[in-house]
Amino acid sequence: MQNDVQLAIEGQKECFIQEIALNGQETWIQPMSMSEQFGRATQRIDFGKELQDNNEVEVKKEVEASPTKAEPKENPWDEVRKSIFEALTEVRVLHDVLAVLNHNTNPAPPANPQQQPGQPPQKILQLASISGPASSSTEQLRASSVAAKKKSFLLASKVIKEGAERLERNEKQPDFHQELQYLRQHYRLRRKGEKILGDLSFRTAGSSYPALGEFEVIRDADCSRENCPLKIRLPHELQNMAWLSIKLVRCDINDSLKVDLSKVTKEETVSTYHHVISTKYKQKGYLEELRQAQHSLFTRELFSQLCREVSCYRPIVPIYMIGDHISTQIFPDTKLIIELCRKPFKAGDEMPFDRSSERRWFCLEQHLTKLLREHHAASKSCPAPHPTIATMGMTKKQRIAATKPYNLPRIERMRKTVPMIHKIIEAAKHAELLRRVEEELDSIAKEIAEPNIHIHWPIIQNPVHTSIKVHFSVAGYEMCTKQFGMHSMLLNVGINGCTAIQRDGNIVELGTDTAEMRRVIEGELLSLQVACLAGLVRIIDWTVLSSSKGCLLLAPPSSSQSITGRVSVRTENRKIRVYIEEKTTNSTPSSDLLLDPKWKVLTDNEWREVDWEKLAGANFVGKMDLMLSCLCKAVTDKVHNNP
Amino acid sequence: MGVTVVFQWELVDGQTHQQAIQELHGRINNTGAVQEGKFYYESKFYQASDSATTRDFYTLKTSEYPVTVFARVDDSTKDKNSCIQCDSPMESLLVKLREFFTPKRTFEIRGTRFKLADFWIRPGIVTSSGSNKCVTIEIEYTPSYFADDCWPLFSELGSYILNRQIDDKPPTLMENNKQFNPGMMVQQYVEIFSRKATTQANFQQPMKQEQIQAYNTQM
Repeated sequence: MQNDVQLAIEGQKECFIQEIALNGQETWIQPMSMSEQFGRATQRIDFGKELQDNNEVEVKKEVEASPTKAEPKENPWDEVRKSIFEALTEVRVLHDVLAVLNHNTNPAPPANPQQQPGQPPQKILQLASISGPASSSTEQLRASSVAAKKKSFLLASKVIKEGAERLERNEKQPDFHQELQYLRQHYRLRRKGEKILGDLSFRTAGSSYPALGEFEVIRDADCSRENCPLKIRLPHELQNMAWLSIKLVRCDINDSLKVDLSKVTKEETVSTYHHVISTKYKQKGYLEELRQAQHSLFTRELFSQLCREVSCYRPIVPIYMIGDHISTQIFPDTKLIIELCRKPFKAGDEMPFDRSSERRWFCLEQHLTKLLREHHAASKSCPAPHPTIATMGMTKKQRIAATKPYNLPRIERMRKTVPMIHKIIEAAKHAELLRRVEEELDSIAKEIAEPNIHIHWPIIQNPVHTSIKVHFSVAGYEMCTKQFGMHSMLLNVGINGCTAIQRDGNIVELGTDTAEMRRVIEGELLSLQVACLAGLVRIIDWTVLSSSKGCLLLAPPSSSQSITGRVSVRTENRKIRVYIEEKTTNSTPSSDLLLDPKWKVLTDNEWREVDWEKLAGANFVGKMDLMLSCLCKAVTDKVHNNP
Repeated sequence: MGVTVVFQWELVDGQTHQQAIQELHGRINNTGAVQEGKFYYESKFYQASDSATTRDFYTLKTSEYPVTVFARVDDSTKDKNSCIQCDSPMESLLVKLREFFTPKRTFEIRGTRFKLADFWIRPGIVTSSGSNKCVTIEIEYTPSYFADDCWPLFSELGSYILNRQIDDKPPTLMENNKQFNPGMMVQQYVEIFSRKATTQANFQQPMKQEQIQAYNTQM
């Protein structure tokens, strides 16, 4: 028993602690005994509850009585007894009333004993509305019950209607504070003395534009129901709508050298780019106004940033800044104009754009907006120094530059920041080039009926680079080109020109003039037709003696009794020419120098050009198909004659 | 950054350093190279107070790697490339450690750099405490990292500029397809500086001709 371990077990605490004295003594509340609990429970019985609907006086009494209930009493059962007595008296009275009523309406109680065999005697209390009494006048009673039900329903509907009306009235009540709360979800507000001021500026997003972007919130005390009790007051310069319009304009080569601006000929706008802030959801009046104000603030910051960059950035092609215009020549015959437009704001007013030459799918304005946002983000978020004692504001690349080590050109490249104006000029160049390419491809596709041209445009675009895939096919003879793989060309549109990567891997550098591209595509189309013919020829059993890009020499099938010799296909002067060698046995003047009979080949045969355009067929390959099969007609005749 | 080789110009009898540089500029201009800016190298020799446990080293700052300070231990084994690339606070750290490492000598190279297609040519005079020591020509070929691959180019250009035959093998430091790193360039400079330092020491104690010869044979 020496190994016994003493364990102290404490019972679960059932008492609440009322107080702990300073010496640690706990004063407990003893749990109630059974009788006490029962007494308490009976006190809680609400006898007035049933009567509440009918008699409000009873409720009042109940309210008065309830505080007294909480106190302990000398005789706790007195109240209960009183209530039960009262209830009993009422029941007795009710019973009497009902008995009298019953007696009056029913002079002959047991009228139909078969119908209610187990019906208890008449003395037992029955409520008229609940069940049909055992009386002859059932219909009467039923009618009265329906009437009672109808009445009660009417009452109920009236109550519901009143409630609904009150709710409706409440909703329409304009509430300044509610509006203020709503406004706070969109803009930052603060109190300054008596006024409430809001902030529109992008300072929290990293902007350092000094213009004032504050607005004042005013409470309109005497407003009607429909009007909003919240009014805003914007500073004067923010009451305008402002937006940037980017235009590409056709101009003379020496346009920038012109001194007299009045003599400038009428400019032809090639394309315009607008960034329209979405008006999908019509917002409340003041929010719309604030959004416009904020947008104009942003636009003005953007323009001032561009102006600042123009003044210190010196590219080879000069950039001019006159008033609200920034203009530069991006290509010899094309000018880029960035214009800041202003217009007083009116609610529900659309921005007056010239939409005649608008290009929405490549939005330069949006790109510009994005650039400024990136600029904001860069100025806001500074990379954390690492280690913590290092210089603030260094990127990781700059940090490791010392130990890598990076040499001078590389460090200089790292420090260089490309100004926004430079980026937007590059993007504008690309956009213009892309528009030209698009136009040229469209016109080529319109002019040249066959072969077919399919152009795949990318969904995702880079502001300065786009890759376009151009596929070519001959209708009806797709299988023939398939043998040589897909016949296609890749067009990489860049900033100052584009490159075409042909099927055989050749890279052709194209300038900004799309006529070069046209030439390349036309050449490609011719070579496609010849390649397609080469594929077809193999299927119909002719022999390809030699083939190079755009040239083909064919020999008829050896088994046929072909009426001619070889067929030659060549591309000359951007046209396909077809020649047939004639088998002539006519003795031609033989050469004195080449006496060997094998050289007869050179002098004996005569080539005749075929006007293939006069042949029947949908396209070149179809025509050639027909011609080649006609040339070896002897074979097919033989096949048909000797099955 | 590419393979960089440092050559030393051997002075002809009676030629000053300035004259040598003039001649070099003429030769480099003849190749068709164009001047593009200036360059400088600045090197300090730190001597350890306790030579038993710590070693002497050189630091090198250059305009070509503007944010880096190179530190190269003055090692006896020259093939071992033990170069440290440090951030600029290294110098202020060394000031605090001047009890242990005392700056003894300063070397400086200044000059004009020339660009010839992919080559950078940097001829300059090595000066130490105000006096000219020797003339160096640094040739950098930016596209390549392997001296073995481009050595024929180096020997052709180098032999024209230096007017003497150049070894048909790259320096042992860069041989056997070792990828070039800036440490190799530092190594070559430190070799030149340390050679100068020893000869300078010799000049300080004037020796007889036989003694010098004996010294050289020992080397």
